[in-house]
Amino acid sequence: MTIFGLLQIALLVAVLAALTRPLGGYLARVYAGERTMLRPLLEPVETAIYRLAGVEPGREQNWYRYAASFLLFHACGTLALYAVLRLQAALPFNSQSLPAVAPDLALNTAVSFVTNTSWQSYGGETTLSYASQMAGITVQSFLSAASGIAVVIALIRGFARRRADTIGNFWVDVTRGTLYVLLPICAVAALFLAAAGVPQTLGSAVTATTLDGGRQIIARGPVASQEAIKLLSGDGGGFFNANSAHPFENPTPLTNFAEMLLIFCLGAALTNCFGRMIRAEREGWILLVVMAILFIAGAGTVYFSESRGNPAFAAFNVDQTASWREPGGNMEGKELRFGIAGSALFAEVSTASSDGAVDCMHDSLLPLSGGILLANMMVDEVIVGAPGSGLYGMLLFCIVTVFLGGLMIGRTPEYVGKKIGAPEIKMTIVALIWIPATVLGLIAIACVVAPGLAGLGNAGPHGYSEILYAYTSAAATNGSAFAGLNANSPFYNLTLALAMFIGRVLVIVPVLAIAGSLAMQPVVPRSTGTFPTDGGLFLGFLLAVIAIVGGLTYLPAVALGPAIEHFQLLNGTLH
Amino acid sequence: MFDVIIVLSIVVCFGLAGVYARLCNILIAPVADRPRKNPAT
Repeated sequence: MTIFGLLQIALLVAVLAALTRPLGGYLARVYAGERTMLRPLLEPVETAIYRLAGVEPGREQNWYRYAASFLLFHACGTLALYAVLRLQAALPFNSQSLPAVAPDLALNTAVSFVTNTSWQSYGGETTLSYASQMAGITVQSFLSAASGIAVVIALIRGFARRRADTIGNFWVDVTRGTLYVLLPICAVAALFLAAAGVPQTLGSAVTATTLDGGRQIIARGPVASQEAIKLLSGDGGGFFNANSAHPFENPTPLTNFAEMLLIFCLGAALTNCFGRMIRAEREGWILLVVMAILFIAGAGTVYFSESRGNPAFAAFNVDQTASWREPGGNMEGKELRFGIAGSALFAEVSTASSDGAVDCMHDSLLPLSGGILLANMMVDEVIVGAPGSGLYGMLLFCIVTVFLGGLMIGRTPEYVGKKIGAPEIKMTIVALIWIPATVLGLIAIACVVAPGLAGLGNAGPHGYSEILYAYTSAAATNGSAFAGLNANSPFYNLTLALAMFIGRVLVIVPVLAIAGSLAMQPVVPRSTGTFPTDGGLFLGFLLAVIAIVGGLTYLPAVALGPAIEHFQLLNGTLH
Repeated sequence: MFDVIIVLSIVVCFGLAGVYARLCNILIAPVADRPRKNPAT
């Protein structure tokens, strides 16, 4: 570990903390329909969209109608993206004459991007045309992020409102999120990335002659525009197969830092937006501090583990010490321009958020690091998370925490002025149970059937970790891959699509039900018996609940994979 | 043929999710039946 590496972690946390309040305030104003800097410019566009779509912006929806709109929007998005992928051979902007995407792969990709997962069983530059990348993938990156933010805004309204039937209008929230939040930030980010060397062109791939006379095809395309929303949306699906490890997606250490910032900024700002909307900013800061503690612990562990190097190399007298000539540590699968710190930090950011972009190969990380990345996803990615899903996941854990606290002292639990009763607890458990049930169930199947084992690139615990990582990443809507596993087969395409569908849709419905249930309640005044949720006791309790509920659910599964591999590596018995 | 099956399965899956939403509505019904005094704030 070097001072420069530790400074990178500290700088990222500091810049995020500085951005959280202004961006959180902006989000709160946008979703309240208040005047913002961009309103005079974009309001005519917003009004035109409502008129074209037949949406009455003043007409709010109860939770059930809000959920129905969400489901309809996702169903139409899945069908539209599936059609684009299947028809890409007949669509324009296909300079490489790429054929239609196979049906099972098209289904997997459509579900993946509509659910904000961006699991990629394909290589971007060799499978998708520019039309599929722009009109399919990029469009869904915007819409899936906007709908995720809409869901958490609806949940926040549930906490903020008193005796209300409605939680907002889904169509209005998606439109505002896309127009006022995602598009402006992406426009600036795309210009920055293009200036830093990321291509933005509709020109076809370039054929180059190498120094020894060989022929090389260099893929390019409208990368900068897709890269911006790929990061901001928590989507993470790369234009190229190598994702952010490719120099055309992430050319310099500066773009690497900016990309991490883009991944985290909206998720962090939503905590402040939550605090402002419930008129208790401190509650939002508590959530951000919990996220920061978990993030720093994870980033520190991954950085420490990778800096220490691979113990198996000691037998070969490989020098893994950092010096002015070499970065030291475990550099397998990492880009020299990012080094250990830049790669470890990006891997932590990518899995703590729901983004799933990668700037190093996670399969080449040491088992301890791989275990940390898995743990980030297994706690439902509440460590900042994707825009929307991270915060609603954290709020579900808050509900469980006050419920357990209430049981201990024999009082009806309350959270930010709302009583947490049986309906809210039922819905919270329903929402929290889906992901582990899906992950563990599908892993068990994949580990015993021939099509599941056929995709493995490694035997033993590492091979098992590849399957564990794939299903965890899919169900947690992360989308990063451990690599090593050949997932482009009908078995994996279909089962991973199922995991992504469950991890997104079946979790969001009960979240909206909680929003509706809470909105109908009055606000309970704070009394001496109220468990304070804006102090250190709640913070510690929440951390413990996340670790116990999130972590212990998967302990046996982790023990069979990264844990056993870690100890085998230390004992010198890993083969 | 595959396309028809896949499109139908997408429609069926989201339809089932709608049924699931209905079940969630039933689960929280006691709260939904509470008297409502004021409209949205």
